Amino acid sequence: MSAIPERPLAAAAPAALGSPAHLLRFSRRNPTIVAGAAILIVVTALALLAPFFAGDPLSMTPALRLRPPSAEFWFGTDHLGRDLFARTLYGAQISLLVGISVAAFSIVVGLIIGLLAGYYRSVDGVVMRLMDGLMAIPAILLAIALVALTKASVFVVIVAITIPEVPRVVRLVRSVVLGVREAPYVEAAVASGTRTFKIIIRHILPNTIAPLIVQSTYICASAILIESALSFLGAGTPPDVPTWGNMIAQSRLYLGPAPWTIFFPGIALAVIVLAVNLLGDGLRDRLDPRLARRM
Amino acid sequence: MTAPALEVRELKKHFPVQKGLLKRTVAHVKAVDGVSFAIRPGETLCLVGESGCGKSTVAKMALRLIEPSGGAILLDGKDVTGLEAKAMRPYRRRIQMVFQDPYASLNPRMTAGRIVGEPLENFEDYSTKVREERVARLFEKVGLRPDAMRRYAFEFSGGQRQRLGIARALALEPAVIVADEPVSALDVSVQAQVLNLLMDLQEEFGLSYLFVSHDLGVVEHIGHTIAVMYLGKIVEIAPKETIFADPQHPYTKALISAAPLPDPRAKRERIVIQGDVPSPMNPPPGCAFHTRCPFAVDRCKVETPALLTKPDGRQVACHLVA
Repeated sequence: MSAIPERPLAAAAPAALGSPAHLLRFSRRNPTIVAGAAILIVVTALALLAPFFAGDPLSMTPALRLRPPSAEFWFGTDHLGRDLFARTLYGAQISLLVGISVAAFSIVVGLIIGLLAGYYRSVDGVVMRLMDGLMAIPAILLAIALVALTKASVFVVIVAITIPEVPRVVRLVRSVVLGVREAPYVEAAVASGTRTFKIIIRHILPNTIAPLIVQSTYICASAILIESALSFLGAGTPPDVPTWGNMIAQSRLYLGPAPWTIFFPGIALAVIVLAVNLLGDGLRDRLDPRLARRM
Repeated sequence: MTAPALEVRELKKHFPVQKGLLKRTVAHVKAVDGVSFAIRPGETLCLVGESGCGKSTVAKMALRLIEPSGGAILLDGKDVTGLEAKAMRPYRRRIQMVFQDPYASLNPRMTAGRIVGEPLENFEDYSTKVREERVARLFEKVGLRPDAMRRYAFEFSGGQRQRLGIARALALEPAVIVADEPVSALDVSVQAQVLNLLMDLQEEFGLSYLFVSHDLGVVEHIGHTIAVMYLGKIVEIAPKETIFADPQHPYTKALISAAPLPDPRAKRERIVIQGDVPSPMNPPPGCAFHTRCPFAVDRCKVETPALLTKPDGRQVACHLVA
């Protein structure tokens, strides 16, 4: 009998959670999660700390209009002489606020509706047809309608983007519930007298968490994009608020002589959406490779 | 005579087959079509039959996990068939279930202690400490170490997981345990341990078992009464000793002759039945077994045989057994 060559277990020494060795191994195995999260953390920190080191995003100095990037104005100035660096950072606040709020609201609402539709088969047909109807409404059209009816504000934009996202979450949650509700351990819970509410919370809900985390990143990314599109069209946040969409819209006439006025908000938008998507892809591969594709 | 712990009368389950956009019902699958039996306290009734004959459906209907389309379920002599969820609750704890798949029937996100303690949580107002003590005692009863309570289900072997399932079923001190193929997913050596555990528990607590199986060796070990099902109906029901020594129905004979014997030199007459089980959506007229029965006569094709009681107490549904 020949000796079987002992293969040492890869990285056998269990690095303590959070230790440098552990972090290094985690980032080698999940480069997309780490890259996405790192970019997001940096962007968030910059956005939140903007008041402490960036200039005033609103003060106009027409004498210094359309200045290229320099030591004084890192990203240059726009046609009203406003500091683009400050405006880009303050724009990140709006983008992150909209992205995170839309993701949170649509997940909460969609989760509740999805759990009910999946578990109670009698309401399923009606609820799902309603959701199909909502899904058919384009977010941009709805936002324009809502802004026309009420006053333009960030909150209205959040509501308008959330409504068409809800059905996607409902579909995802419902599909998970349909798969799990027939599982023998759910049947076992019924047999041992567990009440329906507890069955849903304890035995069904936990299965939806992983795909929902992934889904929330995609919703966040698309919400940021839609918010920018709405601002660009003038149907979203009021034009005096520095958002990336507003900045691009107001600067589009100066694209030739002053390309930096569009370049910086455009790059910022691309980077943050890329970061959120990287994080989402990484989490999907790690948490649930099967379920969490965009539905 | 004491009331049976569990009795079912003329239990039926017809699943509608729906077609088209409007879900028109085009046919019914008669998964269970008039099954009656009674289990006395401390006794085991085994339901045997091929896959798809409706034995698992009967088991689940007994617990009202599936609603019957007809017939009655009696627990301790009380009819619980139409009871609403609330009225059913006190009866829920009298009848518990052990599942076939020891992997899928335990929530992978819960610790073993919480899984076994869940029925107690549902019905008893214990403090966490008291509940954990109860769970620890249940662990000991089924031969698990109480310190395993904090581990997750996936950290146990198949046999240990099935012991967890049994502990969960025992938690409420039920009168009846429905076991749906509880050992068919286990290795043979582990099967014997789990069966012996079930028999020990039966003796200790006076449990009644409704034991569903397709394995005649298992059934011979644990059963007191054997009911043979074919296409949603019981074709023969008799005490274990008589049914194995002297099966009456041709289907029972074929089943018993097909079970392997431990002695390789033993010779016996094999009755080999041809073909497949007919579709329960469109069962043959007359005796459902006539399409495969080697002894079928013309009468079998037109007239459905009733389950008749013989002088010795056994019941057989066959025209040829007069």
